[in-house]
Amino acid sequence: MTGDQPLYDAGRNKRAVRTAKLGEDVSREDRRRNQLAVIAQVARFYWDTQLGVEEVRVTSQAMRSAEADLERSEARRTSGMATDADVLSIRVHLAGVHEEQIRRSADLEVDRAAMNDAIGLPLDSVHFLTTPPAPLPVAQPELSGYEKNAVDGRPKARQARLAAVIARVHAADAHNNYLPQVTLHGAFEADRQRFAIVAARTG
Amino acid sequence: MKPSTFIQGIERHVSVPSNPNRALWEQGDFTEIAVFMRQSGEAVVQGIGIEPPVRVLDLGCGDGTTAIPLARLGAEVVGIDIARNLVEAGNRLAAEAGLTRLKSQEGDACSLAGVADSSFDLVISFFGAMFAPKPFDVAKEMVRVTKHGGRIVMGNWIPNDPTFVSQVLKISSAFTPPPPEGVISPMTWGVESNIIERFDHAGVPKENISMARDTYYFASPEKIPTELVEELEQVYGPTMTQSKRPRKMERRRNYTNGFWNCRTRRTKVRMPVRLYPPLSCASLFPSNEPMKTLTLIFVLAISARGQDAISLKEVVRQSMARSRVIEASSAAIDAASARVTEAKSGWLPKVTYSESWTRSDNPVFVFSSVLTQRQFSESNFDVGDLNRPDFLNNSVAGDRRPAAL
Repeated sequence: MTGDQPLYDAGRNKRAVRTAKLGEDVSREDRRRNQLAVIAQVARFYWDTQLGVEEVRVTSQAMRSAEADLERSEARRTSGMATDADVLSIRVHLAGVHEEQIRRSADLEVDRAAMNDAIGLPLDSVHFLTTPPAPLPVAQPELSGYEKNAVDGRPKARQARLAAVIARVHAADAHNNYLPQVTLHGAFEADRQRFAIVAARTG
Repeated sequence: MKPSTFIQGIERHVSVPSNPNRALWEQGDFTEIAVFMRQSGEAVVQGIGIEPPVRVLDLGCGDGTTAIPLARLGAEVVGIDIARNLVEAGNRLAAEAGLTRLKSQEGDACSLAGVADSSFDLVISFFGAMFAPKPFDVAKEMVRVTKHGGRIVMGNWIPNDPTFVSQVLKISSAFTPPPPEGVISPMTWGVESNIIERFDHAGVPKENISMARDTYYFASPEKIPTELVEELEQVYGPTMTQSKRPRKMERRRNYTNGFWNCRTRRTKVRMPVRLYPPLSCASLFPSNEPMKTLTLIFVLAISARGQDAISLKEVVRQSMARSRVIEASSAAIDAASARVTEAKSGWLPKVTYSESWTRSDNPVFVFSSVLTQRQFSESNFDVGDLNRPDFLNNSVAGDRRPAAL
């Protein structure tokens, strides 16, 4: 049996504690960074889905408009006021709008699936999105303020600062390796033919 | 039975409207027309199929054509109407019928400020909200106050339908100045694509909207259709207004002719150019028999929130709760906290205990072990035993290694 009690370690343990605390802070910043990333990502999915709904609506209206244009064009051709080429060009336009409509519908499905994936629901779930898009109240932009905010608040910047402090602590630790350490050490040794527990039983 | 706290809460907070339609509907006495609509109102409510307990909002409730039958079926009903006189009439009729779970009050379908989100299981509006000037706002408000999984049911007149009310409104509009910019005709509520667009804009997808044509009866065993038309001119706000408007003699005559033709079943009406197209409304009245069937309605059944409503805040909350990346980050923090504790323990004394066991017949091992065990005796000096000792067990408690500095 041995016992050890450090008496003097030249600050090594103190720095070990400090390093561990800094490591804890780094982990917290890492989690904050991940949380911000998740929030930004899911907010983008949410707004993309809302935007997708609007785009599908707009393209549907454009489709109706193009169809009406085609009807009018065909009527004009029938009355001799337009040529086949005019009608054809409207048809091409209609096809383009239709393509856009398909594209927007597909985009909406993708956006919706991304949002559902983020919240753990079946990809084709349809939700009624209740938060309306609204402009943020932005104050007068001041570049210096934004810079300060970025330096002070961004997780990566804070992690970089913490990493610098950790490096300084490690450097100090390396320097102190030259210094002696004092530890009180006590030991007890007993030899016998049986393990202690058996010896105790046998008496 | 006392009015519920729910109804009282709505009553306290709903805003009083400043809608220009208010004056239109407050003039005359629509209750005289509503008398003809009671029978169909009850039939409509029966067709909706409600199962109490259920909270219902009746938008454009009038004097309770549908609200009263709903309350009779056990629903907790809040009626909202733009016209004060109709609200008063509705409350009076409810009181006379002993219906304490029905309360009507003034309000604007375009802005139901004061009515909380997701308050009602069912929102109905039969020929009410369709007259509000901002249909997109109406749809949005209806959806907003409907609970998740609730329903919205509307009855709207169909434009250009060859039946009674559509034609009355058509003739009225012929003598109406163009509406102010931004005001949309109420009859557009009778067009399917408009309904889909408006509710889609409010967040209800097309798949959740169903529509059907049905017949709405203006029933009166005493009156003949011509008498109803006369009554419309006298007590129905929109037609009263139009009958006063044509100041010039010619326009007045056109207006009168329009109704006169309706009343006397002339098959065609020569319309003032661009005021209204040829009508066949007179064919509605094959004879002067008491009225039975007159008008078609457009009934909508909208599962307003068959899909779950979800806010951005809720989406963020759910995604953060199930994010593996965030979970891993939290675990990393726990590990780092444990390392801090571990590092702090460096100041504390360490006590270690170990025990080893060795068995051997190596002469040196046996000799030294017996000596260490303090069991050495004279017999151990026997040369034969020294060279070929028996197997010996040696158990060591403690640590022979020098402690690391």
